[in-house]
Amino acid sequence: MQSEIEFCDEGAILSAKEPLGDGLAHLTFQAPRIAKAARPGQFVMFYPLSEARSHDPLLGRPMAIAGASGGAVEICLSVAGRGTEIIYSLPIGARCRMRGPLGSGFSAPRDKIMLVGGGIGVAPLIFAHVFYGASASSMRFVMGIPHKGWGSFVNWVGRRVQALHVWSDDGSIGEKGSAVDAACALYSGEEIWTCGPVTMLRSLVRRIPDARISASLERRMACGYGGCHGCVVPTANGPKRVCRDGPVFNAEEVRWDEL
Amino acid sequence: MNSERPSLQCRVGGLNLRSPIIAASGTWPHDPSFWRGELTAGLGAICTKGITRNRREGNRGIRLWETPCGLLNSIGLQNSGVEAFISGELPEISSRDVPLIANVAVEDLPSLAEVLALLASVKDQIDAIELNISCPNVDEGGIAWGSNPESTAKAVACARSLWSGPLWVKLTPHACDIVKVATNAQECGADALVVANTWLGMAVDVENEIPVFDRVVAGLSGPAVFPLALRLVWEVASCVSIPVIGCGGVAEARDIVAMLFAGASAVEMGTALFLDLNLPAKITLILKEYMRRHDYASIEEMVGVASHTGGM
Repeated sequence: MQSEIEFCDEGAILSAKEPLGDGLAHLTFQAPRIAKAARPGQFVMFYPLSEARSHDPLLGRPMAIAGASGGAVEICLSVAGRGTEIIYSLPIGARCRMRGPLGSGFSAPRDKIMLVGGGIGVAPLIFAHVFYGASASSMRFVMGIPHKGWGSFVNWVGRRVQALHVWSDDGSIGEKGSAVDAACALYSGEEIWTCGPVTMLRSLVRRIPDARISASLERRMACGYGGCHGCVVPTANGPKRVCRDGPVFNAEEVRWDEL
Repeated sequence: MNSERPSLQCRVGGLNLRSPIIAASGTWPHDPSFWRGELTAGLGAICTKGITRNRREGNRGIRLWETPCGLLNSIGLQNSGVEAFISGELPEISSRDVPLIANVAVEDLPSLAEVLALLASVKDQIDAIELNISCPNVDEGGIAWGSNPESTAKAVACARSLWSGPLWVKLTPHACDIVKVATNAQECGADALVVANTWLGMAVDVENEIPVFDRVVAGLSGPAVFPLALRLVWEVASCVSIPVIGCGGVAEARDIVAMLFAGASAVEMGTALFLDLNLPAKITLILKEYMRRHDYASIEEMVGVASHTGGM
């Protein structure tokens, strides 16, 4: 959706790590070339070793860019398996690698935007909110979380985002309900940028059918650069690669029933 | 550029390559903007994604699954079809500074003939054809074309009759008798053999109690298959006179040396590119250092060294 920015494979040094409870963390890496080129909605393939010497786990892990400034790339991590566990346990100063910035970003905002993030899916939306700072006052930020175990993460997001609306599944933080419930309650005709689990995105698209929605999708990936065609999603225009044609898609184009 | 010793230049299957490292089909960035100078450093050639007669959308469901040191894939030959390739992609990628190998998937012989006739019309933009004979032969119950020597001979002979340029044949590791398949391919006019393709594997989603892939089986690549590919290279290279290109799990300079020693004249690298696109450039430096240390002036001198001495 945005003009093409060249990617590179770059060494990245872990410079800051903030555990945020419940297997969540905010990580900052020094990776100047990627940081300079990154735009909201783009992602990196992250490799926890400086050289591809160990081959288990074999592949990089796609991570949304949660922030990029002053030569640093930020990511939000939620431990989900062996790859993310390894990343979570990296010590400060660890030499890693990143491929990026990859994929299309969110197009520059033309009007009011509502950002709707489910769980760790808020990561690219935080970058969007901070990057388009001048217009951020017209960007409402809706965040859905499961329970109060995410309290530290919510506080961390709150330090970066004004006008944050937090809803939780069990009502322990903010109002009770999902990110989609929150979006439906607050929607007033603005464009929506969203990221989260596929079930959430599908539900959002169905419940606010008249909204213009840009959705950032996630798939298993191998290359991140559009070579292997492993991460495709069904669209009205045939299968499209999340890594290269996305990850941000116009929701109208995606065949949500087949996803 | 490589005039100094040791030289990485090599002649393989009718092509002169500046490096013995070739990007395997379906692994290089698909978009033409990536087929240029800096990124292609260290590469001798690039294979295109598999081309078929008509557009194919590829497989549904999960297409990738990571395994210990390996990757299962079930892409299903997603591509835009030969005509869209010729009009939309080829003009962009053929003008770049690295030789282009067009990978053609053998579906059935009439389709193959049409694909090659069309590619022959733009012959000056294609440096070689790589024939993928790992696809199912529907007329023979879906068994891969390259599984048996007879269907291999039919496919290669068909391709040879329509394509006068360099013709490489990419064998499947699932051939019943790979030596006979290889010699048949050679007799029917192949200029080089790529040994091999992915190994069929499977994964199960134990939480949901179903196979991971819609088609159940998927192709395994990555460092996990390297010793298997090395063995096949050694076995095939000792039985044919045309060059063999080693393909399967190559991820380091020492893997290339091993492939060359086992009888390969060059290698293809695929899955390793997913880990580091600069790997070919990095590896060529290490390879040159190895060659200096072991007093090899050329790639050619290394071919078959270990197989000749019985060191395998």
